[in-house]
Amino acid sequence: MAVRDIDLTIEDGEFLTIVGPSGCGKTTTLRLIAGFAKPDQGRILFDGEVVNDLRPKARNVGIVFQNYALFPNLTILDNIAFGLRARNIPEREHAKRVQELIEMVKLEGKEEAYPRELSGGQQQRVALARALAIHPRVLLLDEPLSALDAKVRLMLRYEIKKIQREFKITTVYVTHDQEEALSISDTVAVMNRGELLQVGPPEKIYHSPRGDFIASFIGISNLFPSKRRSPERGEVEWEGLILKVPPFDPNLEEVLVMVRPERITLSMDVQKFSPQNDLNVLEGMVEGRVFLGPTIRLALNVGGKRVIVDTSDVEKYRWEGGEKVYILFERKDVKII
Amino acid sequence: MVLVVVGSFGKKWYGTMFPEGFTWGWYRELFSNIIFTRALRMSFFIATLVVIANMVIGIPAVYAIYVSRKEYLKKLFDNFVMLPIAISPLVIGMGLIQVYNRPSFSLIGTWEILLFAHCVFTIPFMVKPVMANLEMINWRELDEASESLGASGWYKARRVFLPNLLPGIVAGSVMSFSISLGEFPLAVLLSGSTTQTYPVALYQAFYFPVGFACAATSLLLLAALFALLGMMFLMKFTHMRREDFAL
Repeated sequence: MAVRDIDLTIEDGEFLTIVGPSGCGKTTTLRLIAGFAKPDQGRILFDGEVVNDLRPKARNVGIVFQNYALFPNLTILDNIAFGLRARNIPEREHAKRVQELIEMVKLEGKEEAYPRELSGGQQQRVALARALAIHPRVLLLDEPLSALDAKVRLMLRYEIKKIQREFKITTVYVTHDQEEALSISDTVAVMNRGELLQVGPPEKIYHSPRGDFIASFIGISNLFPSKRRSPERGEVEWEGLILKVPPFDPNLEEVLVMVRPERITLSMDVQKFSPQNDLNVLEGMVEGRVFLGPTIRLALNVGGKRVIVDTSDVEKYRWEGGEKVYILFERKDVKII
Repeated sequence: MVLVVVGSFGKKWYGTMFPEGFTWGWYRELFSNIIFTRALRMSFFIATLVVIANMVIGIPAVYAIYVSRKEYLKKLFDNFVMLPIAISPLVIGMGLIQVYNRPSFSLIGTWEILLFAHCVFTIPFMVKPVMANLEMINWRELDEASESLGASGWYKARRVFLPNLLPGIVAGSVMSFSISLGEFPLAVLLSGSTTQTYPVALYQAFYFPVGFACAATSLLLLAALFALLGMMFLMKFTHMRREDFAL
């Protein structure tokens, strides 16, 4: 998968996640940093130094692969010590570091085990320790948790973040899981079809997505493609209804309005709300309901279009379908994207 | 097969279900017969060289094809490599005789030509398991992992490549060795009287008394048994499983 026009700066000690759908070019970008792929144009710099012509061996990058890539013929200890031994660092100098790493990834007692004897989560921890052992300038992780089950994934996610913080190591993490990206990164870079769409802190990406792709890919969004009515007052027209939105750029003819499902509340009774200036009230019908545990996700038909609402009021809304309800969302919770 | 072994110990065996008497005599005769002992030595000699040659030629070839990542090369390899097995050894033998039996330059009857013919014939059995092994361990990723950790080509080969290829190499070696040891048509066409291999000598054993022939055959069975035991031992020793042999 080709990538184009990538202009990305990563700070020292920063945890950057590149997130995007399969085939978007995020792994290619990672491989460019590692040195397994060469750019046709442009430069890659480590601390201001151009590394385009340096082999991966010379770039001193620590890589954690999706399938761990542990050496099956070596014990855990030998796996972790591999990089140090390959660089001819004497045994007494590296023994301590290897031991520290084993303790850090909580694998004490397993030094003499072989990779095939460990669980997926344990193998991934060995892979992490192995990558860190060589004091890399950059830690690269290529969807390291994709092959693991949900609970293990969650646990390992935070362990990785914790270790990264402790080592203060510049990290580039690649994943297609947007929830993962938001939860552990300092910075998130969203890619699609080989291009970098938006880079910023997780909150910014979530609350101010640039464009409908990001809005839909990161979290769930309700999109209302509307026409401008009054940019200064913040009014648009959607499906014959007037929506109250924040004031927007007068040059826009088409306005894409977004509201997150958790920002919408429900009410059976519209009379309760005196017409407020900043509240949108729309009529809808319940079409479906998904029980997520802590929240309920409702699919509603509003003006002929599907609107998703997340509510934690599990007891109150035991609806099955067909109920008429009003959805409410405030002007300030609306985003123009 | 059991009867052959039993027969090798029998004094007399004419038209009866089982032989009569017990003797080690046939084996004594066998081992004092220079034709057979020389043939046995020759067989082991050729078989060992076949294994070494196959490793030296086969492993780098497989590696080159794998890392080239070119699909067409791989397909070409898969098809070509099976050719020697598809062609009858008699055809290979006849072809070699045609080419190498010139008045001024005759290689027929030398052990070198037999070695060459055996290599051609057994190389598929070396390269197939090795290639399968390479793919199974996902060498591409292991290569990248070891590269990023700072390993030189030689270090990678020593610590990662060869050790993980051991099941395939062992499988290929055992196959090549066994096939070469027991191979008959090529040997009978290409070897001379002094360079004949054991199976060729064995063919003549049937002009000798039954007991002798049984003893001679049993020796070959014994060799096969050892090869099998050796393989099982190696499997245990290097923690391999049957799947690793990709046979």
